[in-house]
Amino acid sequence: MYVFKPKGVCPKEIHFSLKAQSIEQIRMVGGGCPGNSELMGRLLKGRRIDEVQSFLEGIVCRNGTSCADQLLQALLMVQSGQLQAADPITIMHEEHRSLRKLAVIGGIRGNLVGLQSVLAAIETAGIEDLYSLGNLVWPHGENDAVVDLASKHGIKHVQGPNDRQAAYGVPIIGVGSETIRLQNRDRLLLDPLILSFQLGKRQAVAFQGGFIQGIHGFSDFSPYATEIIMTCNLSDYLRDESVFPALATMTDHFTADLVLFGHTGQWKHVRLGKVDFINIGALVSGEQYEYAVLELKDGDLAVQFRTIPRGNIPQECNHEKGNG
Amino acid sequence: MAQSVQELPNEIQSIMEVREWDLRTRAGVTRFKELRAKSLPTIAINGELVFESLIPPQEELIQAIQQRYETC
Repeated sequence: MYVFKPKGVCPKEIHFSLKAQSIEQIRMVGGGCPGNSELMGRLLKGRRIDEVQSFLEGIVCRNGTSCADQLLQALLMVQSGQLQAADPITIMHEEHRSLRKLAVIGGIRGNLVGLQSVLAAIETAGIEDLYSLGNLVWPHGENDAVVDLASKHGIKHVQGPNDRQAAYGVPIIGVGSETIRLQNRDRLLLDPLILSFQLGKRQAVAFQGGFIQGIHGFSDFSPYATEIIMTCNLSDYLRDESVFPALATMTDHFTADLVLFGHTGQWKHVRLGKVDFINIGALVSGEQYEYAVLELKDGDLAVQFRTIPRGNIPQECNHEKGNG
Repeated sequence: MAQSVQELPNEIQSIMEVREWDLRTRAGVTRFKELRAKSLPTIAINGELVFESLIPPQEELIQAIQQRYETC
């Protein structure tokens, strides 16, 4: 799969795949006319790059270019070796700033009221950023409204397996591609699988779960693969405490010293070796909504699991768990 | 740990087959859990955990290998 960032046109990215110099698939992501995009894909499917050049060149829409023109540029860059196949294991690096206080939410699962409640709770708490570990969407959830709200508030989200399937239009029971707007499928598609960021001097990594290992292109030595394999496979998401001695030893091989992950729906914080492991549980926890606040206090990491009674005003409750 | 196995005398090397697993890999984790190991480093002989959390002195390692070879 190739990912090209076009200039001067509506889509944010152009994704396309080739097979023996012939076009297999094209998708304009994050903007533009979906109808025209789909038409382009259908008409060009199976055609060789040199064959389609005459169809694509010379078309102008805005800014002196067009989606067709940008696609042509991308195809020519592939031919000349200037554009390489994209790494399917997408990592977003928050490289330009170091956070001091952030909130993390997990397993929103189409729960609009829950997300609204958390946003209201953190509004005056000095939170610099809100991160979300998948899944945003869920069968019978208010999926479009949740994705819209997350986008509006600039929530940094890492894909869960449902999000990824929805992004690719793969029907999940109750969450078929037809139930999520194309614009939101594109948003989910553009979300990374892994988020890397700084909390003070702490190097942190966040991912939803071990499903990443099943994605073509994942290797045991991919960036942050050790963190993922150790957390998910060795310790079964911190549920197998008998292997904590081995996990502590293996943290010497980690790039990150703060690991956030979801998947289990449970809330847990454990410090092993030089690493803090934080299992971000599900948004809905019984009769409450739950989220985490991570903060640097005098250089040390403080972790709070906060709850909001469903239907009531937000309350703060220290839920420090584990031997952190 | 791997080095201590590599440094065994030739007569011991000749009676055993050595397999080294890297716990950073998925295959390594699978084998680690099959053996029900809990910590590192670990040596298993004939599928049985023998040494865990330590690098044994060479004499002890040789003795453990010979004992299991004789009972095969």
